[in-house]
Amino acid sequence: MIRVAAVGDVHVGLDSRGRLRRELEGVGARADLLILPGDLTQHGAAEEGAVLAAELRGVSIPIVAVLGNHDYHQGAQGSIRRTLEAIGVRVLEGEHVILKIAGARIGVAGVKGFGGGFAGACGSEFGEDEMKAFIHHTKATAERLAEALRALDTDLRIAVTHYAPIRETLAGEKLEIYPFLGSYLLGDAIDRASCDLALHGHAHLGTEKGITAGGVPVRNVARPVIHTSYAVYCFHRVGERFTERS
Amino acid sequence: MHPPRPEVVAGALVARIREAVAEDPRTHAMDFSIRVVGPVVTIAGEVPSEARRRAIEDVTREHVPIGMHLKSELTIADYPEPDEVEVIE
Repeated sequence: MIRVAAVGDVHVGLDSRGRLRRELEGVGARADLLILPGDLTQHGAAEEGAVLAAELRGVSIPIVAVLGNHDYHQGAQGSIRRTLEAIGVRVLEGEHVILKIAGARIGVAGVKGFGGGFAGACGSEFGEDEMKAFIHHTKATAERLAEALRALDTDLRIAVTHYAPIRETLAGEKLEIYPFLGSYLLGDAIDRASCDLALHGHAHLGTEKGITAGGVPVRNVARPVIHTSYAVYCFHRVGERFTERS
Repeated sequence: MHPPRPEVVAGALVARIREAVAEDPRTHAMDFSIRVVGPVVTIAGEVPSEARRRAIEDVTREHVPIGMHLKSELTIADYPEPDEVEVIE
């Protein structure tokens, strides 16, 4: 049995000292792995990265994260990433990590992702340079996720993004902003890899549960959505899943 | 020329406040609601701390026109540890 805890959009700021640490006090007893799908800081300041690292230092289980749009706001995403990696957090941007947990190989691949919209109402790489750059960035980031997932020859395969890979977990947000909340291209990458679970954040007014066109469970774990300090997802038949997929 | 309808004026004020609170370096906050009814601007939603609540209220107040007033229904969020675990089949 593998238990995966996840919470996104914790938005740690200089005013947050002590809070996240208290909220995560029991996670080491309830889960084997903690995943953080982005918006780890409020303003994207390097100093907030330091507060965040101090809050996470006491967590006894492996932590895997992607950054979110807030973490990029001041151009300090590199510093925030390095600060987290210095305390052992694995930060993924088009990368993967394989963890040995309870005798099973658990693979996690992640990207921040970007917007663009969903099938039937999405942007295309056409027109002004700015528009082409927007969509091209999403295509490139989705391809990096696909490549990172292809490397996961593991018993369990988990995709992590900040932006949403499907529209279903955005229900509750205004329709007009869906193109800024995610992209179907992320969902396509997740389906091509036959993932076991996809986790994302970003959409605070969205819905927790959804499923990709290919049948991959998707969970929006933005903290205002799950309304708990983290959610826990449990996999019972981990070794058998790999056999079925093979 | 006809004056703009009240709901158009209210919508423009909501947009201005939302933009201000999203972009102001004191706040960078987006997930709260803003309603304008008559002379009252009401903001509502959950925020993680008293400091963030005050910051959102302060920035919003700076954009509330003279003759209108701000009503805050922002509450401090409490996020307990989960009671349940979801089994993924």
